Amino acid sequence: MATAVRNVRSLMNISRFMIQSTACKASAVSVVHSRRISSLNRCPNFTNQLRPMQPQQIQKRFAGKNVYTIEEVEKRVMITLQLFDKIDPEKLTKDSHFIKDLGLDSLDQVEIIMAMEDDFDFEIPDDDAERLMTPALIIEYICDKEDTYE
Amino acid sequence: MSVRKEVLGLYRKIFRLSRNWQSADSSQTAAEKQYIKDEARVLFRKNQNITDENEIREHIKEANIRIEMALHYKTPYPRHVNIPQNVLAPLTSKLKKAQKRKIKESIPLYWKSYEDVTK
Repeated sequence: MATAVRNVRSLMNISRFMIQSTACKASAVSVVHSRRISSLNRCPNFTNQLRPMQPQQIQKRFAGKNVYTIEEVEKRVMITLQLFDKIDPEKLTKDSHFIKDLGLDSLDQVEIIMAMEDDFDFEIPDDDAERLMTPALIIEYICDKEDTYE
Repeated sequence: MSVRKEVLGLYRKIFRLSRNWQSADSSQTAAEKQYIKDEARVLFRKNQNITDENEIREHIKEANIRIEMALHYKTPYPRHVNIPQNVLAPLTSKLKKAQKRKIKESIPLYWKSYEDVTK
């Protein structure tokens, strides 16, 4: 029992010594290597990205453009419409016509389209804007003009 | 282009103007943006039941003048007008017909939508 303990202790000492020595060697080697590596690594920001990418991490990236899904577009359109003070949120559905169902007039419809332009940050020309009379049409138009995916 | 389309295009133009508005005094930019939107709403709604096409065209001219003056003078507020000479001030004394006519003639087109001072 005592011998076992002594053996274990000596083994531990030996292992510690060996680790320290190998650590020294390793650190010596790594100093040399790290100097070489640091001289190669002039662009540290990019070497972070040179890891192999997993397939599910790959994203579409457009320069500065937003990528939406259809549900996001729908949600944002409906929220913007509910915030409009002349619209009764109870009556608002995707297919409610602004003029016939919700009792707004053409000036209000212009304001609504302007609010959509502000929200999604792109211009809607006058000819297209005057035929967008229900939320469903607006959602469809935005999905056509912006890149949306399912 | 039909009058209706012109009017809606004007309304849109004014809102786009308010979006990119920069005031000469930078602390007033938000207040002036809100003013442009509110004035447009109030005045367009006030005049929305006019049916005579010539009247509507005059109001379209009025809106265009307001837009151009706002862009030129860097302020959305309309410039007030003085009463012409030899006319008594409307609020302090009753006006005669000729004086009323003179005041009405002196008011420029961009004050058309506002209340008639002579009444």
